[in-house]
Amino acid sequence: MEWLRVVAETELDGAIAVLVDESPVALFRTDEGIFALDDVCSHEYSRLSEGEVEDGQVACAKHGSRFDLRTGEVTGFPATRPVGTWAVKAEGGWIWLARRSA
Amino acid sequence: MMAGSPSPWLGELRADARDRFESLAWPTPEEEDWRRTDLGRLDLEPFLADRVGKAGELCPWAGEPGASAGYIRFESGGCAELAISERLRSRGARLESMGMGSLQGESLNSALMRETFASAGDKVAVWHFARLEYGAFLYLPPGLKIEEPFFVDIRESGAGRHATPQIAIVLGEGAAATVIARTKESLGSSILCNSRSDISLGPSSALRLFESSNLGPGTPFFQRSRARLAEGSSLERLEVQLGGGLSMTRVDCLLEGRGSEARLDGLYYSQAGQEADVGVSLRHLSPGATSKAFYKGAVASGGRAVFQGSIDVGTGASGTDAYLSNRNLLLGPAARADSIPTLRIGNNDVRCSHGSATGRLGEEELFYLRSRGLSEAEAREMLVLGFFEELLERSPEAFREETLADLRRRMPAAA
Amino acid sequence: MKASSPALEIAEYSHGYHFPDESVFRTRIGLDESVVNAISERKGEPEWMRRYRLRALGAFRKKSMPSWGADLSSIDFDALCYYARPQEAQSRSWEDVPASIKETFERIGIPEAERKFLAGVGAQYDSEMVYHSIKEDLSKLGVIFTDPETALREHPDLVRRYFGTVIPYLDNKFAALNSAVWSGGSFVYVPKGVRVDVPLQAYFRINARSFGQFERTLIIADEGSFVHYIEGCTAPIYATESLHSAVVEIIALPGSRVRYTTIQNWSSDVYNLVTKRAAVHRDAVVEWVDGNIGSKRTMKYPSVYLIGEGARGEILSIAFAGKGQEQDTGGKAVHAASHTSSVITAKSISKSGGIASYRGLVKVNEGLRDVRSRVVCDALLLDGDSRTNTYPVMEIESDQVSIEHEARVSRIGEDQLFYLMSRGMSEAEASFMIVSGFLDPLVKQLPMEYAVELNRLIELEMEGSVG
Repeated sequence: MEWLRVVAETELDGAIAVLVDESPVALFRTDEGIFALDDVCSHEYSRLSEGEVEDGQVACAKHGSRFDLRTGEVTGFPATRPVGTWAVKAEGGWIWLARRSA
Repeated sequence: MMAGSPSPWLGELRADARDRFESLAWPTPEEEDWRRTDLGRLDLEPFLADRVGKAGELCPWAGEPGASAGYIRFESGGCAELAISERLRSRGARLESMGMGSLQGESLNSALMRETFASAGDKVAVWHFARLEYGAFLYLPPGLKIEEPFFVDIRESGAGRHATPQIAIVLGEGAAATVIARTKESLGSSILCNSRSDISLGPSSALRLFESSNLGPGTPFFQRSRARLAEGSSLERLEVQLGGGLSMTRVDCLLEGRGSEARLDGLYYSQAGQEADVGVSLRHLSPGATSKAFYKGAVASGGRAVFQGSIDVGTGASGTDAYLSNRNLLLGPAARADSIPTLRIGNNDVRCSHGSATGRLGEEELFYLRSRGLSEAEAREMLVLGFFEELLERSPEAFREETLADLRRRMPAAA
Repeated sequence: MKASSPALEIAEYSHGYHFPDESVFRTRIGLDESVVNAISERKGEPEWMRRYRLRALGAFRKKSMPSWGADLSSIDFDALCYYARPQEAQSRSWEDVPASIKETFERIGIPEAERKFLAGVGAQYDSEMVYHSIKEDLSKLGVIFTDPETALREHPDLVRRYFGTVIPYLDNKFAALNSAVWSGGSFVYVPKGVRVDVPLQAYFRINARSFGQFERTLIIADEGSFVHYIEGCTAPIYATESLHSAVVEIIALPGSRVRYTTIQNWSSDVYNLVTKRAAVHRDAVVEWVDGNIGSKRTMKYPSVYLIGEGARGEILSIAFAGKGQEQDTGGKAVHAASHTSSVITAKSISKSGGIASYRGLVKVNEGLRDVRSRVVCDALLLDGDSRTNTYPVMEIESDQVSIEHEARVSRIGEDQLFYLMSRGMSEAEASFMIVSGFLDPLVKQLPMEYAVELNRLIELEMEGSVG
């Protein structure tokens, strides 16, 4: 896995949007840890980074589609497809991301 | 033939268009017409520079045309050849290069361009006028009916070339013409093409127009066609859309005259990596007009096509007879076809309907052809060409053959 | 039905609602946290529901009005009352009921006993006996059929598991509104393998909560079960408030079948904005039968999300748009599994300047096999002033599919009319016959008494259109 340094740890508060190699990624920090999902709702392409986070899930602000932060699985309508996830770690004061192999 | 510099109206139109262009913002998917095509994915910067091609040069006169009524050919913005039958010219027909034509031709051309510029709705449409550099203009005087076709050939090539071809056709009362217009991009080029066809049909006139676009796989392509039909006039048009990367094409047909008729057909083929957004609008503004639109598309695996067709019937358009049909063939997994046929009807003395069907090649037909010895690829090709057959039936032989050949070239071993 | 009137302490009034007198309760005009809290407290809800309502209020404020659909520009959210106890609505006298409404009752053949209730007059319709015997039969089967407040109290786990899972409060502005201030509606749970042969009718559940502004309905059909639920009625409902925003969620678990029939005939000042959606699991079937006759503006698109293999969805929609009305209706079918099928049939009639629009979606995800969908829209324009629009969208991402759509617009044919009149019918009779024939395939799907009432209602509406 090729780890890419993305943002300073201190910048990640709640949810933020970052661009990795032209791919939009949504970073989340919750009590359960740090998570990274494709920042594109599988329903109508809105930004998950602007959604509501609760109970290990993010609800897209546009229509409420919910996704599991850890697995990207879709857990609530109207989306019916999962979103991609990224491997994420905090190291040396930075947040690092890596693409998961398909 | 006129000698000298291009008519001033062209420069004035470009300047006005440039002002309007600067004042507008690029359309976003928030706007209805652009919901399905995200301009933000394109890098339009390289094409914003104002590099005008060879416009303003006189067209080399090619003498008498052979079998056709006349032809005009453009190479990367410069006029390469122009020919029109002297017999027809003496009867008042005009086939000219925009900005370089006769007084009469220029006057009609500029009037039409001004009118269509006023109707240009968004920054992309206005951009065409801001960068307008060349075009073909055809005029037939009242009563002149010509059977042999006119040809307009547009070839574009180069790296970073911004092509804005324009085709303008004005038919006088009772005139009739057939036009075959082909736009091609040379291999290995990288261009952006933003083209227009504008048509004004006088009362009882008739135009048969066959237009094809054959572009490179990554080319951003925008095309607007607009036709105004006066009383009793008729337009028969077939558009063939092949190639291009992200393409957005719109046809706006205004049936303004009582009893006018439009038959608008379209053929599109999207390969892997291509996204075509094809639109046609039939607008009934007067009573007793008839319109039919048949659009068929095939989408290969990894490609995408959106069809947006609408029938609008105004409150005064009683006796309207309108029909729109869209058929999409999906040639493999990861192919996507969206179909959005719309009806907006404000008069009850009408017959309006539309139909849309999406599916794949028939298993039984494929099996049958394979059992006759065809390979999978040959069988699929045969069925796809068969699918498009009915649209090409009414085309002139040359146009039909060329389209079939172009389609074959785009169909490697199956989808 | 006994009304409970708990005596409230004066101290509770400080939350922003007032009690003009003991038997009447309503929140003050307008909407904010204190109103939402008051509603939740009034109902004695668990904390999670109160928090849910408040989050929904936040979403309602942030979300914008739809930029498409019927014209909603004259809704003034700050001028509405968002909660009134049912009895509040019953404060009219029979003399005050408009003659047109009384006449409609007469014509449709509404039983004497029901008329006052429907018109919102004093005493409630006493169908206590009918309701009780149905209730007994149902409870023997293990079927739960009650209002959502009671369900929340008596079956909290069941409610919590499913509430808001099909339509999240973020779905759209009006779902958010409903999620914040919902009151009344139905909660239905049908256990595994149980077939409920008698249609469940909210109308029979006696109290006027059946016609509340912000009904919340949740129907759960467990594996292999069957239920038919009917909402509304053909008689015109004389509403007190002009904004009705309901949410209906259906969960059809594997092998189950749910049919949900609605006949809506709200009075002509009502904005009726409804979100209805069904999650259809493996081998399950959901059928929406949606009749929209009344209201000033209706926006409603019953949806089926086919998420298990073998799932089927069917949507039948009838819309009648008369003078001053806009019916913006249709349906959505989302195919998220292979071997699924959907059918949408929409028929509309526009008359006297009414506007009937069909809005629909058929979506097929990628990588699916054996998916079929057929949509047919028929619009009848009865006169030159009326309008119809059709806005279908098909988004197809799999190739192993068969997707068809057609739409037609027509009017009553001269030759048809001529033929019928030459058989001795008057123009009115002939027109009515043709319109009946037009609607017949859908009317056939309704329970008998509804079909009869609907036919009479159409006849009444048609009389205004001829001559």
